[in-house]
Amino acid sequence: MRVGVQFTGSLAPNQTQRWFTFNWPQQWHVTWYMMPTTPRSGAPELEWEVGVERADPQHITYWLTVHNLTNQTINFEGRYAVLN
Amino acid sequence: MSPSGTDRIHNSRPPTPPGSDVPIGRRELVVIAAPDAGLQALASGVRSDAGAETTSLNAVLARHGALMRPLFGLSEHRLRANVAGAVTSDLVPDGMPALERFYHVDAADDRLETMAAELLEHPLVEAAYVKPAGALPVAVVEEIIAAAPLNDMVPAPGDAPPATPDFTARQGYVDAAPGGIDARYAWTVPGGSGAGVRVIDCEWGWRFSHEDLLQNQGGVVAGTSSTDTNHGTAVLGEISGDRNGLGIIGIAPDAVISASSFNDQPTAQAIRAAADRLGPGDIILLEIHRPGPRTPNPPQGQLGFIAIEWWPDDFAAIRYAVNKGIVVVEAAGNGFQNLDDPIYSQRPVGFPASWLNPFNVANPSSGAVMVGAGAPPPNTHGQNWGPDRSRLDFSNYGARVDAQGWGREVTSTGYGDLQGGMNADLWYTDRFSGTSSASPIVVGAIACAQGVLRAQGRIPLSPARARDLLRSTGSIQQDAPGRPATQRIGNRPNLRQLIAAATQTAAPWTGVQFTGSVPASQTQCWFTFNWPAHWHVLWTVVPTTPRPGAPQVKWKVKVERATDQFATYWICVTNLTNQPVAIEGRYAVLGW
Repeated sequence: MRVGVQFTGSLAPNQTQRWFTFNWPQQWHVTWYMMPTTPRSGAPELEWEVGVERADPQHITYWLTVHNLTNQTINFEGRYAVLN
Repeated sequence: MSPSGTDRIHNSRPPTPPGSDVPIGRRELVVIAAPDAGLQALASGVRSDAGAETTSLNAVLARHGALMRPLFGLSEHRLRANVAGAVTSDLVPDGMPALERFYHVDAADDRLETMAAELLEHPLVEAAYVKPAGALPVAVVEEIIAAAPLNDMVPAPGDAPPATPDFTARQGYVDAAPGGIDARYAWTVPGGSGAGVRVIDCEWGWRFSHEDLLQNQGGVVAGTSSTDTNHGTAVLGEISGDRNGLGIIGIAPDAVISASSFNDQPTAQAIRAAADRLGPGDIILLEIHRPGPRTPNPPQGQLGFIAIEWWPDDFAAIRYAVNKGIVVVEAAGNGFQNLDDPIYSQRPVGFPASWLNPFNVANPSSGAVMVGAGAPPPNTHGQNWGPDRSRLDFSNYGARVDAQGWGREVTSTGYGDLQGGMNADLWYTDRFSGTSSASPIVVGAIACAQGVLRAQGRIPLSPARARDLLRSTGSIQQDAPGRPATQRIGNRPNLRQLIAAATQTAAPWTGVQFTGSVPASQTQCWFTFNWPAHWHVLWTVVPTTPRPGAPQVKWKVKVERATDQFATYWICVTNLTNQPVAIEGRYAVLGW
């Protein structure tokens, strides 16, 4: 088990944007989640979806679509955990 | 007082107060545009993208021969548009103005107050205030406030020897805790010398040509250096002096140190420029304080000077950096001030209505690590400044202050009282002091911890986590006569403890956070709060009502950064069936 921050990003108010990250060994069990670094209390700031591509037999590309739910620019971390 | 061979270049600015010999900044007129003004400052004048009338605003500027320009350096459109890049426009707490609404007004110093009052009356202006000139947190007038002077050192006469001796034995602050911060221990840990960490010091002038500052340095990356360089040179040496067997050694000698200058940039712009050159886990040091509401008129040295986050534009600039994951370290100031005094909650005329006193820990925070000045161990360099780790008399204090460093007897590069001569590149000091000398010690400690985390492939400390660990580890503040530890300046870092806490791991654990029921074909959301934001948390939902043959629920996780320290998770569960379903919300904490 190990965790990390793969990327940092920024989204304009109500913006949705997609990031991709490639060359992840296919045998790794990876989960993805986002964490804002812009405090804004009272309501959710971000939601996300994960798409996945088997780029070749050995490697996986993850596509991360992140949506800013607020009317303010939000900075965030794209976090991952390798579970095995 | 000035060392021979250096020049003062601030002859167009207000004179330096008696008793100090350091660069001071300009006073600044800051304007915050109304939210819907849509202002754009051009060379030809100010116009409104929203179609508002700007003739009267331009008339005020013209009458005073003034020019209004975006405070944060980039045009309003670039600040708004470059959201996906390094520059973002409104990374400030709720209610605080976005960066593109801040303007700097260039005008003659004697017109600033009049202009601020006139601009404040204009409907397109939300706020207009004059910031007092910033200064290095170094000098006080001893006859008024009975403090020994700070940083009045002069170079020793005579030539420096052919080879500079090893002064590291005089650097007690790198020694074992509690007297020092135990940097010597950190150096034995992979990465513990700050490898891979970048630091930018924001102040006025530096001597990057010094013989002990030649490695791991990036020079002045924004603005231009003042020719008054002793203070900045001493700061550089404390943090990142070379490991070369001569002179001094920095606490984090492998960290790469650069500089952003207040000499020719508004302070907020210099901070933003530094932030745009750094990434998560890197460090910005703010070596500045300025006169606050308790500063007497006429000024008495630096009595009443306070940390700069109190001013809205500097707060916004710090917040901009912190939101990028950069640890900002800020001198608390040498103003003899209790920052918990209610006077600091009184909103000055011209500040925006949304302003809240950032020294009140119940209010939104800048997120910076604030550093006070503590006494070194008695008999350091033969001097006694009170009990070890007690608050030095000049140091500001209060609940807002996070940590302390040595505020006296700091051996470093510059000034020349320890080793002088004709060549300033060979100067060393034994007496660097103030919250000026204290703050780099905390910067160095953070850099060592960040280097260890990087060497282990771990996530660097976020600004909030750095503050938490500095408060929860270290050597505790001591009482001194008339200066009890309740006058908080926090703990002195102890790198043996800090590194252990920063690198601590825990086996993943799981649990059920909530149970509930979702009506047929409905979506229902739960929220759960006060989760440490540095934890990596995974959420799943399972039904507890058996119903074989088809999926019963799906869920979506949303996240809110409620504060720098804590996250709130929102778990929205959709019932895919035509019957109510009982569920449990499960979590797994995967690490940090």
